[in-house]
Amino acid sequence: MPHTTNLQSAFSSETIRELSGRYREPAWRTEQRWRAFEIFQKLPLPDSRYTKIRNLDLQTYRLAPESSEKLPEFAREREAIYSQIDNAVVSTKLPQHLREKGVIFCDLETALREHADLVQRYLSQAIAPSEDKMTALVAAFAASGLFVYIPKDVILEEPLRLVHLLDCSEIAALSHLVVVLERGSRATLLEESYARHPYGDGTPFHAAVTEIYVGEGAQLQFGGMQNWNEETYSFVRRRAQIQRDARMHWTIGWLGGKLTHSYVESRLMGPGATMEDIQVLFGRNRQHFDLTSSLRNMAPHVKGEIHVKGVLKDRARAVMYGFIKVEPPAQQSNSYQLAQGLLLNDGAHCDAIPGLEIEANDVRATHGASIGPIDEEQIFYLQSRGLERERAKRAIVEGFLTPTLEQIPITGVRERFHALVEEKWH
Amino acid sequence: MANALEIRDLRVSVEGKEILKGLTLTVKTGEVHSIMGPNGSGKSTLALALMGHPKYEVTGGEVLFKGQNILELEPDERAWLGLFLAFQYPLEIQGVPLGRFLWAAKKAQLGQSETSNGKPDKKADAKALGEFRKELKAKLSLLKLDEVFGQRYLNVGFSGGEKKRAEIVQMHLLKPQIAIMDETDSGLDIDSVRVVAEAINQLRGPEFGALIITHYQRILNFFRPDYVHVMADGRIVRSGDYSLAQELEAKGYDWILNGQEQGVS
Ligand SMILES: Nc1ncnc2c1ncn2[C@@H]1O[C@H](COP(=O)(O)OP(=O)(O)OP(=O)(O)O)[C@@H](O)[C@H]1O
Ligand SMILES: [Mg+2]
Repeated sequence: MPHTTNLQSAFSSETIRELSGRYREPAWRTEQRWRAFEIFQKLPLPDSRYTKIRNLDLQTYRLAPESSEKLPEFAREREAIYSQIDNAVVSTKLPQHLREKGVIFCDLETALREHADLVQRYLSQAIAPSEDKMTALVAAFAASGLFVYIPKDVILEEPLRLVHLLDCSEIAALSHLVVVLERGSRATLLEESYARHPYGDGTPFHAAVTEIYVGEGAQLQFGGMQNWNEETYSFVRRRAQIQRDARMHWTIGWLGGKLTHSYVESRLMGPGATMEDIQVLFGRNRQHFDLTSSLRNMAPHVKGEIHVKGVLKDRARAVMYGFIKVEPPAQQSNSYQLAQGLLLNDGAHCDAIPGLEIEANDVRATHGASIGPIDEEQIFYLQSRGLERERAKRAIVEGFLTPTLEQIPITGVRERFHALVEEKWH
Repeated sequence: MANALEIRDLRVSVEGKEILKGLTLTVKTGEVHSIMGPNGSGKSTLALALMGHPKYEVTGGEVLFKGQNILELEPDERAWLGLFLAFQYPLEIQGVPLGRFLWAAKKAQLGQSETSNGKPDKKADAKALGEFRKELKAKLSLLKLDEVFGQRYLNVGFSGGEKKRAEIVQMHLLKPQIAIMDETDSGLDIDSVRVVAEAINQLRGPEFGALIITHYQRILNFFRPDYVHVMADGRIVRSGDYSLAQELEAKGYDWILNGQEQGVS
């Protein structure tokens, strides 16, 4: 049951005491919060050369969960779904047949009570609270989030869904997601983020941590779609630890946010592990996206591919970092990254910053980037067949995004993404 | 009255350099014209300028299509009027399936020619789409392209010959009144030349006119143009009938070009 206690001074020791008492958390968890809180206070905002974080005053946000509400439009029969509004867990539903197989799909606080040992083994292990101010913030103060556990050899046919809605712009919405796939299991997880008020005033704030553990031979498809309103500050850090012969596939679509700061890292830790990290963004007005994709090859015969595509309109900006690190054991590994940006007008901006660090000698690692305006020759070609100039440009942009969007694992979401892109033209 | 494309004393510059230097030519529906000429003589420049490529600046002369000055029109407006250009180098467009694109082009064309009341008629749309799909299939087959080309992204990964044949598929579906084909036969194997020529012949009739740019008599054998023109240095320097093409094939361009120089001096 979500509580509605109002926590006045948000990021304080009282809050930690209140949280751990309210949820009767185990001592180690509270201890973790205290350590994270200390780090949070010391670290600066994650500014960078291309991304200056202005006008964000964390002290102005509250942490209280909002009242519980149903999200009927998202829920379907026989579906595993978790939904969260701001910091309130609204519903968690897991079909009976999955429960019988030993699948765990529940909010973090429940998991801490019912599966304490498991949670302890994985919570804040892949992403240390000390990585930056926002990871520390989440570790110290998040009470909402999702814990997913897929037992050995269990194969899920239907995607697991996580829906996060931002409603109140005075609340700092935090979320901590932990996903564990045991050896040989397979799952698809889709995380959708929406704004209740597409044009609300105020500046919503969101920070999230996602930790993923893909066991030997397991496969996870992660689909993410973010459509916060264009006043939102959003900080997301995700990391997957991928074991021998396992597969990790990321497909993330970015549409919303005033400032979106994302870090996705894939660690190929066992021989034969593979990953694909595919991200698409569409920015307009003064939206700013700072997206990092990081790949670490840590074992032989691993394979990873990063592909980030951006379409930028008006005065929108994107910085796309791609870091590949090949560690000494990662012989005969293969990695590739590509950044593509399409600029729809003069004020739009996109930077691709690749980084390669190679410490093994028998490897392949390549990168490519292409950023520029829409090709006038292509526009002319389509126009010559009767498409008006604006229509021709749209066809090219949609075409630029289509091959990537087709990889989003759920048809409905893919179509919604298309529709949202369509909307963003206006 | 036949609809005509009338080019009068056309001058065109690219990046400040004059390429077409006063070119005059009229193509009426019902006629097939062929333009031949050495590399760099301005054939593609003519084709692209007629279609309204923004890089090709018209500095003089006029172009009328169906009696209307088209030089101020956007390329899409020229297309709606019934002009078509099969590109010498068709563009590859990622993520845009050929079939879906053609349907959009078709709808744009219909939207222009029909005075609809603006209300969408779903039933009629579905019917039209069904017919379009059938037609697309038939045209792909006419050009010896597999049905899957309808789903493939526009020219992406098509071989040189497939691109050229796909241009003719587009032409067949859009049914222009005047079509300009810029070296559609270049890069085609012997069988494909025949396939393309036959497809062009199918369109021939009182409602269709063509301006076919080529280097080879080979394709002309299949459909015998009514007129053959030789272009050199941005002008038409000689016009004749089909026998001129045969003569060119045998003798090359030198005799005409030298003759012209003599004529000038
Ligand atoms: N976009 C352009 N930019 C710069 N120069 C151009 C451009 N298009 C054409 N030209 C120049 O104009 C001249 C005529 O070119 P055009 O392509 O029209 O010749 P063509 O007769 O079609 O030749 P080909 O038989 O080789 O196709 C050439 O000198 C060419 O370099
Ligand atoms: Mg040419």
